[in-house]
Amino acid sequence: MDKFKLNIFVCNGAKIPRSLKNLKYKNIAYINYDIKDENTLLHIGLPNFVTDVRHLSNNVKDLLEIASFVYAADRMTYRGDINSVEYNKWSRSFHFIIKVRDFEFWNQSTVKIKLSKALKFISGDKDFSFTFEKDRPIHENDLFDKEEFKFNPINKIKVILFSGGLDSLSGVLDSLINSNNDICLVSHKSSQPGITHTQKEIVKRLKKDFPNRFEHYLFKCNLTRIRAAEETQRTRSFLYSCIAFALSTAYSKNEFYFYENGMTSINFLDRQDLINSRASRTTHPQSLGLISDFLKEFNPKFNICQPYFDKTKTDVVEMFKILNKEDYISSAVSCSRTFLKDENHSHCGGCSQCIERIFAVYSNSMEKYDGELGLYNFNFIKDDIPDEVIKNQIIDYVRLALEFSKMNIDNFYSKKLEDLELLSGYVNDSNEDDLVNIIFELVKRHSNQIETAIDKMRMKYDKPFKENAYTEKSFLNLVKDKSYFKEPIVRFVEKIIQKINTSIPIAYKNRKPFNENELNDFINALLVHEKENYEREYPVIKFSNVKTIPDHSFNCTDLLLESKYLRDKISLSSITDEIASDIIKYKNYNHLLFNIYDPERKITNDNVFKKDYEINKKCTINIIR
Amino acid sequence: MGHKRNAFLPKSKRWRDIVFQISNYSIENNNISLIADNILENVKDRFKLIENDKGVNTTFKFLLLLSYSTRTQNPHNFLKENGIELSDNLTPLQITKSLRIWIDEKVDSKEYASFAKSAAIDAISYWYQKNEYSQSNLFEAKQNQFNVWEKASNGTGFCDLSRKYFSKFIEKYLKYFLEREASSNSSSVSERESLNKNLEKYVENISQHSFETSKITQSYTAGWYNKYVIKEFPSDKKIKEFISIAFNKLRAEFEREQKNG
Repeated sequence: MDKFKLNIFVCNGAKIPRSLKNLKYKNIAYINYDIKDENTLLHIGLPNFVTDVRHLSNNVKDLLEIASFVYAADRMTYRGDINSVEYNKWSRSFHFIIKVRDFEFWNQSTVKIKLSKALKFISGDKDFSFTFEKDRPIHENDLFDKEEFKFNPINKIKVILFSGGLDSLSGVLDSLINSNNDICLVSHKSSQPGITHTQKEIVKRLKKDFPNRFEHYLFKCNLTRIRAAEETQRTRSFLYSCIAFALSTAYSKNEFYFYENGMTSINFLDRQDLINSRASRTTHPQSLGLISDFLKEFNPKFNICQPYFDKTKTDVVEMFKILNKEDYISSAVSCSRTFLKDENHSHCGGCSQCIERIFAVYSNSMEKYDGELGLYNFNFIKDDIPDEVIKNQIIDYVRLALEFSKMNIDNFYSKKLEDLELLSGYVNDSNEDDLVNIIFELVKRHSNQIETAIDKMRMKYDKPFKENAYTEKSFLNLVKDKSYFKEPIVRFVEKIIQKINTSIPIAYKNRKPFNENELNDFINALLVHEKENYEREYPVIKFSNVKTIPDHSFNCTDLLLESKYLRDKISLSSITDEIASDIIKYKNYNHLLFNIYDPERKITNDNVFKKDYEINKKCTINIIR
Repeated sequence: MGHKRNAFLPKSKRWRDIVFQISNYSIENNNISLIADNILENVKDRFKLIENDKGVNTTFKFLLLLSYSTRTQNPHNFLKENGIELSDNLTPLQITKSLRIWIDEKVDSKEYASFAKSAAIDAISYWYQKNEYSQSNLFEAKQNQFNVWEKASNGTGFCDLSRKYFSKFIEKYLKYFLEREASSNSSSVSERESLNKNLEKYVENISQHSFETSKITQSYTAGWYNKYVIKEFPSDKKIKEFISIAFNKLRAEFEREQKNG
């Protein structure tokens, strides 16, 4: 196994203690954030940012640097290969030694504990620890100490984090239309020019539609002179939040807003390998709660608000309809892999964000504002899914919705206990009932909306009289048979029934079997190659004082088959008694299939005959003629 | 936001063989026992690390403390003395919270600790479902809140609880590998659903056979509990020994099943 290394980052000219120097398994890196230093590894676009705000206290200036160092360390420390046997390298341990301006503040144990707790949860890393030193060198013309400021604080201002995606855009429009607040948008200036371009275009349009209502702050933070070893950037949201906090503080606000729907925020695991924050927790309620808790050390009244937590992605798309701003949809970019899109499209069409958006748009029947405008590289609904990663994501996305669709509130509670615990206390829940009800209602709504979306996709492309409406490797082909709603045993039983019901009428077209044994010989011949562990007249089952043997069995699935031949003087009531008796005797088996050959139509109403037996879901009655 | 990291199985032949076996899986061709056995064979060296992992040991100790606490005069106090803070409202969710807090700082590998924690949570949930069926709501608190755990404080109850813990651990560990490439190698959502269901059922059957049908493990587990736990809470060394034997017996059962299959 990989050794658990400690990654030590020495920042702003701090000194590394001897105890850490002597550690056996360690990496040491030095980062200084000095804009005058040509050799700095870290470039933060803070100069432009801080020249725009009025005054930042020393501990907030330190905060911005600390968040940037954490982000830089995150990007400089590799989390291992995606095809490792185990992902033990994923969870790293960090120790930061940082010179700060406000040593008294940062050296408080509560501050360190809360900072570490928030970062560990967001990143999925094993540990973050901090040593702070006094006397951060303050250079002449320090970037935080400029006197000229452009912006005058306005009372009714709302600070919103703005990514350029559907959720944050909907939140901005919602705020502009439904309140008289002025808006301060905070964005990360991405290294991908396409995203920055998108944000600027949206802002341009918003400025036109809502003149003099908002300001937009873009900040840049990236490594310089070295290539980032790690692209996952789980701590970016922490940096993002610290910038928004600094701005809110400058405007004397006690909160900022993160518009993100609840399903995306929770980001339920749909694969076991996604543990430890490999399914990101950027806006998970606990992430925002822990960051809020840490920021309360600066301002006890401070809060991060997440107004769209009770919404799904479909609800967010519906907001554009409600706000009468559908035409904004195409300008929002949700794609996380814009580098994969071709020049004619704004979205790759296959990343998890694109998939989520496409389902939400279909669920609202709003394709004409989205996919029909040619936003996506390809249409996975009817065309070939181009690679395995995309296929994985689509299937797993649908499977999760399917899993929720089958749950009632009790088994949701027991199966999703771990997820619920992570949310407990962070979603306006005053008790467990509240929590379970809030989240269960959300996942059920999401699941219904995904089902609606699939229905609408089918209606659009799967025309009854049209051949080749979709390709063999398309999404619609993956869901064409709805048997995923049934248990595997039920599907297997259906397969056997189909085989028996097709073969017996042909085999006995001219002559009926002499007796039940002959009928069983024929069924034996049909089933013998169907599945491993098939047995004729096996096993011996003890019931009370007697032993009984079923006609056929599949041990691998715990399926027993009994045949009944209704003929001549054999009465329907005797068969009825036999079936009832067999059900009692074989009650410990997974499923019972009764094949009743009724060539003389002694059973007059099949449904009435079957109904009382099939109330027990473990029993199927198959009538053959 | 809402990112999920892509994951693949290693590129070596023995792992590619497993991908091939996954692609051969179908509702009609249930080869899950072969896939599970081969995955376990590929990671057999890791089990020594798992058995010695602090997170795995600590998590199991939590279950043991919980069941043992009902033998003491004041279970709350006993657990507190051992570092476990439980709220007055003893629900599965509150126990889950205590478990997470308790093991948070007692971790070697975060990966193993996550499987262990999830497996223990599933075992807790299973235990409540099995022993509190008369309640109208699973998440309602009971008057004597430790009643449900009393049933785990004898040889038979402990055998059942540990079986669930170890089988869920193995199930999660198998899925950790299998699910990286299962969906991309399935021909339909139905097939993918069936793969998971059959895996869960297979692991459950193996664990039941190992802990219940096979008298060797059952008597060992119950005997171990009666000998080392009932009179006095066992040492960490004894707990580690038990975990090692339980994993070994389960793994042997997988091998046996595959050979006989």
